[in-house]
Amino acid sequence: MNIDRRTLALMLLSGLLGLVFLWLPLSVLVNLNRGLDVSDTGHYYASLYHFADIRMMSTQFPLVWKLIPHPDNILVNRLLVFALLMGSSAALFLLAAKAVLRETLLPILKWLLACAGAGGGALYYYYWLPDPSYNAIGVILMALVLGATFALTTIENQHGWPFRGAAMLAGFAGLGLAATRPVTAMAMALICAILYLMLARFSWQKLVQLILFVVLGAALFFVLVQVFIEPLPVTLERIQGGLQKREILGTNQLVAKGFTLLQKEITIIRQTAPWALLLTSLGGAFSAPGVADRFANAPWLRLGGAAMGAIGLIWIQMIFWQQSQALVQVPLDKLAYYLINLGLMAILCGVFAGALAPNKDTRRLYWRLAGVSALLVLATLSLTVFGTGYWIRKAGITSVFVVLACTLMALHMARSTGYIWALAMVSALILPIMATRTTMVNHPYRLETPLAAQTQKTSIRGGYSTLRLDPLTKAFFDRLSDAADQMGPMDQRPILIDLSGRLPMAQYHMQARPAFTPWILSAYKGSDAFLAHVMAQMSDEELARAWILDAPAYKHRLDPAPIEARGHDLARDYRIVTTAMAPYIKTDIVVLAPQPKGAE
Amino acid sequence: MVNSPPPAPTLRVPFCQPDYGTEERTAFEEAITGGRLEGGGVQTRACETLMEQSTGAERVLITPSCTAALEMMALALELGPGDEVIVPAFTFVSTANAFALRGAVPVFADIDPLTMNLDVEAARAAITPKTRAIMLVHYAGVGCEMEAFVDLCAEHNLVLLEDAAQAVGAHWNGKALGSFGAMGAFSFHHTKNITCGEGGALLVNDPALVKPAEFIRDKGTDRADFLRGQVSKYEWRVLGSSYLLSELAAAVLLGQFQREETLTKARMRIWQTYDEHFGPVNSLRTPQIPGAAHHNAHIYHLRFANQALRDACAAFMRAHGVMTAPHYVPLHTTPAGRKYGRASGQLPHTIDAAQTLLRLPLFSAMSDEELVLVIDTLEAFLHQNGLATS
Ligand SMILES: Cc1ncc(COP(=O)(O)O)c(C=O)c1O
Repeated sequence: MNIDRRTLALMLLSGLLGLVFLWLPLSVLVNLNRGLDVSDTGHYYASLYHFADIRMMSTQFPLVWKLIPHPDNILVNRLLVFALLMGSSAALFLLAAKAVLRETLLPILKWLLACAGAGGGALYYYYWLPDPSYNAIGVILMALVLGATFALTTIENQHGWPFRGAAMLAGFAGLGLAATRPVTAMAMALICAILYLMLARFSWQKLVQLILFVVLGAALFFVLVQVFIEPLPVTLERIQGGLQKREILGTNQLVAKGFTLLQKEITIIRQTAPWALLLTSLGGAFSAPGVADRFANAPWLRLGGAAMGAIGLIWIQMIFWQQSQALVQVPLDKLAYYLINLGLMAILCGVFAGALAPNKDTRRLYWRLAGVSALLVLATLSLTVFGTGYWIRKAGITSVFVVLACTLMALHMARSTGYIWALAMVSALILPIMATRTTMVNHPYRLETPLAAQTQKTSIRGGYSTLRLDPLTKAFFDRLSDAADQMGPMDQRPILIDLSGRLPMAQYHMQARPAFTPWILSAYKGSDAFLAHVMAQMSDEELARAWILDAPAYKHRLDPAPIEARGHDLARDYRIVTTAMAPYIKTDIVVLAPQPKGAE
Repeated sequence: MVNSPPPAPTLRVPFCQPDYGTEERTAFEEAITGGRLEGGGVQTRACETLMEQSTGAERVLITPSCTAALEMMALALELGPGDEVIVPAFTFVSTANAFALRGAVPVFADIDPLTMNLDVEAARAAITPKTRAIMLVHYAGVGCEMEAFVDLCAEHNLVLLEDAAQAVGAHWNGKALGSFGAMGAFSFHHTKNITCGEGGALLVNDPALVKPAEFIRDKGTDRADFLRGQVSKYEWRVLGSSYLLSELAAAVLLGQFQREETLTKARMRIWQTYDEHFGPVNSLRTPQIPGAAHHNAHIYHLRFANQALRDACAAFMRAHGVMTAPHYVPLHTTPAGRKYGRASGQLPHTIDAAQTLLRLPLFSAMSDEELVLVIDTLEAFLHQNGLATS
């Protein structure tokens, strides 16, 4: 009877929580046809469609290699990326729970984990509304590599195909990740190795098998790319072009502002409540596995250490709560701190709970959880440390792993410590998640108006997709469509040189050819030099036929000197085909077509 | 205390009241943060783009007022002494003043008593060899007989112009008012459906007039071409003035445009409630909407049998806290109208409209309580005067 009541409560709680998590992907789905980002997403689609024309790229491989099938319809493409994101993240959650909790999960807990996984994936997507961009592919691959690693730790028989299959998947997805974010892939390899050593029953024979099949998986990926996409020398050329591009633009810093969120968090605490930090660290030191075990027979000492840590933690939470003020409409970067902070909380909870645990085995289990949480938070950071230190990526990826770490912790607490703890943990998680969702829907990435106000049906790329956009963005696309009609037959369309340096979507939408790179980026130190570099590759005939998208009043406008140096005067030799207000950069653009010299 | 005044009505319904919301505040804030408050900036361009989308006009130029937009029309057409422009006599001063300023003569023609819009036959009768243009006014946002006027202008080689001051969002046979003539003008004055206090727009539909209109708005210079990178320095090209709206006001206007649907819906509900109550009253003439017209619920007006009754009603309503308003003084009877313009015929319908028309309070933020008060008060007046027969 007693057990039945417990089970019933567990089922109810998990069922309801699952529904709360499930609401996240559902609300992404109903908004999937709204909004369009004109810069990064333009870069992405331009790369897809003009792969052969493009000689300079670096991180676009997962897309142009069609790791994700990409139908012409943007909406269907979003749906696919979203489904893969959710599927891989749900699988990761299930595999991680199995590996860490080491028990057969009740069906209702599987349901909760799958929903939390889908919710975690959706939460990542929210940061990139309306378009998940190519970074989503990195996250999908990362979830696959991590999921395969978790699976490997639970499989005893290294000679069976489940083990070999998981190892091959890790290698396959790992090389894919290397093509997406090379440095991140290296960090991931390290993290997966630690994870494996921590959780698996180790044997040398097993390790040899593992390495063998990981290499086989990676080789399979390589061969498939060779056969179906392009030979290695071409890829190497592209990589070289991409590196050169970064060199000229001045973006070639591999280790960018790493760990900034963590640093900022610690700074906030140090400045506002150094005692909280001290208490937490002391508590943590006391509760650490090796230390707490020494006081196995002095439960009061262990309790004291854990209590100290817990008070420090609560204190820190309060500081962050104040920092983020209201949970709805908080500044996005603060929300990101909050998410990272939750990840840290998951780790520390595990450590303190371990110290409190009645026997050595339970203690070990908690500490294992803390270790995995720590690794996940590290994984997050490692994915974002390299490349641009852009907070939105950090926050987006963090969210997936924080949801995972907290869900695992909550499940374990529910089992061994009681539902009250678990409920507290999950509530602390749900609040910022819902706040994130609300904030992002109301302030979608790079869009002027909330998703709800994106209502006007707009035809993109002559009808390849129909999306709902805000009226100003619709006007922009409609005018570019009209201009494109004058560009001539599809197979003879000229190059479009974008002097705004921010609107690669224009070229995709107008079905014009790219200027050897999917995007001439403005606003970088070396942007003008990069334009010159691009122009140097353009023949006189190509340049004479090229159309120009100019943004004369835009502060980051590229200097047209390299065009003018070759005898083309923007005022004299071109006619204005259309003018429009560009979304995102919020400035007037003009589309210029060449006219015969001397003509008026 | 002796002679204490009668208790003031607890609820007072103003004649109109603008409705500003979060969108306006956000846009205003953005404009300030952007730091560029001179005209022609981001917010202005956004408003212009939205209007170009919604009206199909070749180019929309946001102006400080509808009056300014009307003056720009006169400048763009280079009207001057010796020219005549036919305008309805039942309209706002600016409709005629814009042409008189250039030395042209506004010729006042009579209106259609059902719509208060320029009467086609009256306009035809007013045409002389000096006539250059016909200026329509879409009274209360209800379209004029557009096909007839388009034909009339084509027949006599006249320029068709539209004072669509009251007609934002209104259509005739599915086409936006203001987009039929060579040029059209909108008002965003305090009293209008969409407002930023003072503001207007010039709709340029004739592509040949786009450049001249841009020059005129910017002190007669080709600064717009300069900003598009078409000329290396700008210079004085034609006679113009400064007809740019401040970015602050444009920001508010942009917020209003973002809420246009909501604002119009709210007005329409009130307009329809009035019409359900007073449309069937035999003793009143209420708005008649031609089948081709899709109006914007700008005005709900009543017309009484005579001026005495109209004035009595206005006084009664005011005493009960409800503000109403008559409308225009016939322009041909005003001192300046007589001096600068000329009436074409007797204009009996204009005189009648001026004497008998009364506008009821109508604004989007009107509460149900206010609406009920207006309706109850008016019904009480009708009962008292034995007019409540339907
Ligand atoms: C028909 C008509 N024309 C012109 C105007 C003048 O508009 P503004 O105040 O924007 O100059 C009005 C304003 O009431 C009007 O009703």
